[in-house]
Amino acid sequence: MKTLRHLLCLSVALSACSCSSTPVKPWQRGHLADYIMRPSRDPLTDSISEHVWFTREAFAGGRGVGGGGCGCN
Amino acid sequence: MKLTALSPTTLRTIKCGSMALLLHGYLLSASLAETVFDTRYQYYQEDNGRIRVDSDYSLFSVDLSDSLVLDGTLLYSTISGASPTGLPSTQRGGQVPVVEIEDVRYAGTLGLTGKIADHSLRGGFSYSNESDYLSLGGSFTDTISLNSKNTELVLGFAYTHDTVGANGSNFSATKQSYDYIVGINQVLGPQTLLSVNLGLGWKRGFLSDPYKRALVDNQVYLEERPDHKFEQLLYAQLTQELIADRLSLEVSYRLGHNDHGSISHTASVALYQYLFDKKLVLRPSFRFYDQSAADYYDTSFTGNPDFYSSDYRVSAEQTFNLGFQVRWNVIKDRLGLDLGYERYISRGTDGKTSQSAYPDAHSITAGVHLQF
Repeated sequence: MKTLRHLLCLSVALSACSCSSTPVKPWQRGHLADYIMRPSRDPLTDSISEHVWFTREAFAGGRGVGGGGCGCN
Repeated sequence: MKLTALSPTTLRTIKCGSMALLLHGYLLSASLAETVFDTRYQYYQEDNGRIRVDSDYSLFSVDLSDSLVLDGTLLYSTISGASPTGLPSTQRGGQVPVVEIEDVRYAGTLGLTGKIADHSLRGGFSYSNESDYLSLGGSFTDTISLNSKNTELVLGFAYTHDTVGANGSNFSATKQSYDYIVGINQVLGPQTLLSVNLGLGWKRGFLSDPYKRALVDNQVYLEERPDHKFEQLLYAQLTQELIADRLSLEVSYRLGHNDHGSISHTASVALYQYLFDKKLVLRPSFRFYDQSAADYYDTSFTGNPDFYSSDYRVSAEQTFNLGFQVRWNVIKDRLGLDLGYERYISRGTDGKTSQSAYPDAHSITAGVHLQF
């Protein structure tokens, strides 16, 4: 539970830092829609890599929920 | 029980048919804003004749209307090769005992996303079937747009019900997983994005591997793990454009902890480089992963332990992943081709588990991306 409290504090602090920045205007966000800037640019590559790591390591995920289970690990 | 209803030929027919339907549907309906179809083949081979996996991945996404998106994935994998039994090597530093395995996996997901005001609501379903494993899951995610669309709050939940069997026996057990995520996606500047997620996961039921053995007082037993697990993950990712319309950098860090006594650190970095007027995208990447051992891990046991496992995947280990991917945008925003290579290197760090338990691996991917 101690680790969980630390994780919560850290995530709240990081979120607070991010929200305090000056809002970016819509016309300034053009670059963010580009392929090389989009975090969800290539879900298949992400899914394939995540599955390899899932089969070989004790921890997996962290980017989202809903991928489903597998007998590989 | 082996699934025989869908042969590889049938699956290929379904894939081709799905693609044809998507294309046909697009031509018939001008109201579809965007349709995406991705397919990828992966060849995964561990060194020294260990596990080989050949996989066909497919993904589609169709805008049904301005506010409704249907998406899904299909996966067909063949798995073969040698896997460690969990028993230690008979001589120090020698090869750990392995057993030959062979299986086929069919999996798929289906999701529907609806946009209502500032909310993007997605409900999803997942399915995965192997001869000794069945997984069914459902998920729900709400992505809320705030702060003049500079901030997204992500709230997600997933439930998974798995049935675990063991080939060659009548063994059957179940496990349930409950996963929650709270995340923030924040625009920090015209060229900077930050994502921070906190994930909590509870598992209960049969959490052991029915094929893994362990030595207790020199007797061979099936491994025994606790029947519940609570896991916490903190994930942060920063994407920064370094040269406008040319080069971006993505770095991420994940901290993991579970009540089985393991802590993990994962750091990754990737560059995205446009070349030849955005015709080519190069992606070199590197990932480092470190985990400590579970409380119940050892290479052998004495006395009467409650829990015991010699599965190297819950031992103390470090892994390194080097990757390089090329995307060729043959027709801008319409047709792209992908080719990727990854080298996975793993090492035990406890000084007692045989290094032969940790195979390195090659992964090669090739695919096609269609968009309308």
